[in-house]
Amino acid sequence: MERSSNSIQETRAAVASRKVRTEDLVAAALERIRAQDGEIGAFVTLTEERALKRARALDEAAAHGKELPPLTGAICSVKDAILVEGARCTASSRMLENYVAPYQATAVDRLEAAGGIVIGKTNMDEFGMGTSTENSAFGPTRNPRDPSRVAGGSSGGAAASVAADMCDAALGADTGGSIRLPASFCGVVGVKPTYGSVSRSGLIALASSLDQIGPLARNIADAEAVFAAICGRDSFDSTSTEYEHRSKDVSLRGLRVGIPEEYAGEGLDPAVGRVVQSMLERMKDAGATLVSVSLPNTAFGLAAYYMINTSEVSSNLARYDGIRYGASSREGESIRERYERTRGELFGPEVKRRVMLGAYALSAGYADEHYRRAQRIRTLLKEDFEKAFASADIIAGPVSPVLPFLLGEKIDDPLAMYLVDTYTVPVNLVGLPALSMPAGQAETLPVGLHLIAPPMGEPLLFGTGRAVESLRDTA
Amino acid sequence: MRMETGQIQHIARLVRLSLTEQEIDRFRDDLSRILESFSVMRRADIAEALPLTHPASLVNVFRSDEPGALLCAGGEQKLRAMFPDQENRFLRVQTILQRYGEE
Repeated sequence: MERSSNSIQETRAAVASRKVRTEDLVAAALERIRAQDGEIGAFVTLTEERALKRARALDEAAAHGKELPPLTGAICSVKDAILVEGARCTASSRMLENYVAPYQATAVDRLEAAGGIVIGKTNMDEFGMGTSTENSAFGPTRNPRDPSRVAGGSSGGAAASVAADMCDAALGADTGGSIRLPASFCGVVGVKPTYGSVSRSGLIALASSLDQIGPLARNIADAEAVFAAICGRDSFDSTSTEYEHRSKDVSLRGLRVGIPEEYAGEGLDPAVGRVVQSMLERMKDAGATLVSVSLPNTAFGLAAYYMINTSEVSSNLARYDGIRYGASSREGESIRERYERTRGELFGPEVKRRVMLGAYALSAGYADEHYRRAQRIRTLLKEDFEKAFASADIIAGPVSPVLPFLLGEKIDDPLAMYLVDTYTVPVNLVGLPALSMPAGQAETLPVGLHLIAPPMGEPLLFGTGRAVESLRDTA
Repeated sequence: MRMETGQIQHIARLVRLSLTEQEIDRFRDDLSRILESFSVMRRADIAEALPLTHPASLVNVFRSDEPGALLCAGGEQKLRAMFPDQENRFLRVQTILQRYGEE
């Protein structure tokens, strides 16, 4: 069955009018996955039976003329850090290689209640640690646009599954850019919502003050539809907030777009800079006002982020001891040996690196210099953004300082890998909503435009995204 | 900022990781480079800044202490099914407390 490039809204209409059956959509998606995933490696587990069962239920409802939920027929993948009940959930780690989720994430509940069909779990950097999806225990995910290159990370499988047309939408998770960066590298839309707007219940925790679940999709409207379905307070996540999303049209005319001075530094690949600049110029021609803003503490953002990330990581990963669930080493005579061997054998190198760095950053004698200093820089960054949003409605720039790089290019240099997150991490530290959307290409490789809005600014964020998308697509 | 092998070994014990000799060397070098790069934080003017531990303002969330929806519908049984080593309803582990005088 030919893949239509329908939007989620169009697909739902087609199912409702019985032009197409959801079951056939699932079968077609599975075919496309089987044809391509051997090379791309987007999926860790397929949930075929679950998908077909749900599809049949929706087709049954359509046959009886019942009102269909908003995401009916949307084939969705779920990052393997997000629990889907009854399905294996590995976080791309050997530590959870055979762990089957006994319950599921609220975001998945809501996605399914809205008619979304979960077709499989996607590959990621182990426990969310990485920028390329090369840190997976099950092999890397390749970029569908150029399979010699990385898909980006840590939600590489999610982004690739949408870019390769294996699904309509994906749920990913973003702690320091893990949705936005792979979205940029693969040429799709990726959204990290305001901290607290989407429940983290059922998301394997990486850094609890930074993590957020968010959607990836082919276009802004689809991403927005998924966000609207999954957002809102959840009694199982006490950091979740009251949130009812209202879609809003935004005109570029008179829109003040803030361009941070500090982002045009020497780390930015000129090829990336040119594509982003070109899009910004087009926005200006359409009536937007480009305003220079300053985020003076940008230089400290990456270091502060990694200090906080690794500190929270070292705490959150202490639960993986092989005792209550997950794989474990039976070697060792004492309980301490069992812990040490289990974790030593089953965690990958980046996980070990971060767990150790975090423990060091928190340890007595060093916590003030590292962890607490980072927390104070976090306040400075929050103030930087507050000042910037006084003179700009929305902030724009590149998502990544580099083009999608070759597999293996940065894997031996952790610091070079961390630098790829330079523009994305401040957003997580401050809890702002942000998205990546395709802005063009450099040397045939996708380049994403980063849009950042004030807290709870999703209507403005999505509205601006739609306006830029219209502009881009009427060349 | 140069980390010593002894420091890496100490941290590895704290976080319950057994490392090979090569891993100890590699992580010592990695952490040294990373901390050196992150020492840029010393230049930040944090004099007036309070620590921000969380982007959202933390508010106590209360509800009445009554049984409600279960997160795990399968209940206790489902969770126990994942124990690597089970005896009756109990999870079997190695001895945690040693007799006085034993390591």
